[in-house]
Amino acid sequence: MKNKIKVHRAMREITQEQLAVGLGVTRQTIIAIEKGKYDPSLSLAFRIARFFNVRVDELFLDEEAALSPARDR
Amino acid sequence: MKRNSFYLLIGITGLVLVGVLYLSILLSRPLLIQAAFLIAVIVLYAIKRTVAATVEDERTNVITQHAAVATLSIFWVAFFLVSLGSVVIEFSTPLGFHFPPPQPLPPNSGLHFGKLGLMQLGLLGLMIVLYGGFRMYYARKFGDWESDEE
Repeated sequence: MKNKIKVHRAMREITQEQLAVGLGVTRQTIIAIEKGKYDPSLSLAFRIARFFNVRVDELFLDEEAALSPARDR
Repeated sequence: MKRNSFYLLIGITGLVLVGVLYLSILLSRPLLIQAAFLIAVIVLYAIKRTVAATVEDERTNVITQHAAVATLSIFWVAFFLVSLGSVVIEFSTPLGFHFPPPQPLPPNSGLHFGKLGLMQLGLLGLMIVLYGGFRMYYARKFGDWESDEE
């Protein structure tokens, strides 16, 4: 799953370490999420969204839905 | 305690336990190694809680879960194979269907607890190797060794 965590982090000038401490996870987890190696749980996804004060769907991109827009109609 | 010091302590404890095992065999006192092993495990678990920078989060838990399930899915087959083989060895003797005919067995050559223990140690070793391998595989899969520009 693609995400815009890196973009939001850069906009607010927050390091991966600061974000990790703020969310109570390891820096390695932040790296893995940013690189798309690990999809966070719903709970962590909401926590990340709250941290950046944005909606979850602004942060995470549902690639399957993007590939098949007919399903959403 | 730092994480590397803890790993060093595990190594030293392992060496000490090998020594106690040797002493236990020498003195024919199984209780010695059993007590030493139990105490070592309890002490190591207690020290593990004080190890600094051991942050567990949902990703590390997912890695552990995947590794454990993969280990179990292979280990039960290996355990079954060894057990079935042992059962056949145990029960085939009185029936006498052997080809080629077995050599007469010397006294005290049956399946003893000692051999059973060795077999179990071998299986436990296999379990540790499997778990270690799968842990590394899933850690890599979920980005444990990914680096970043920061």
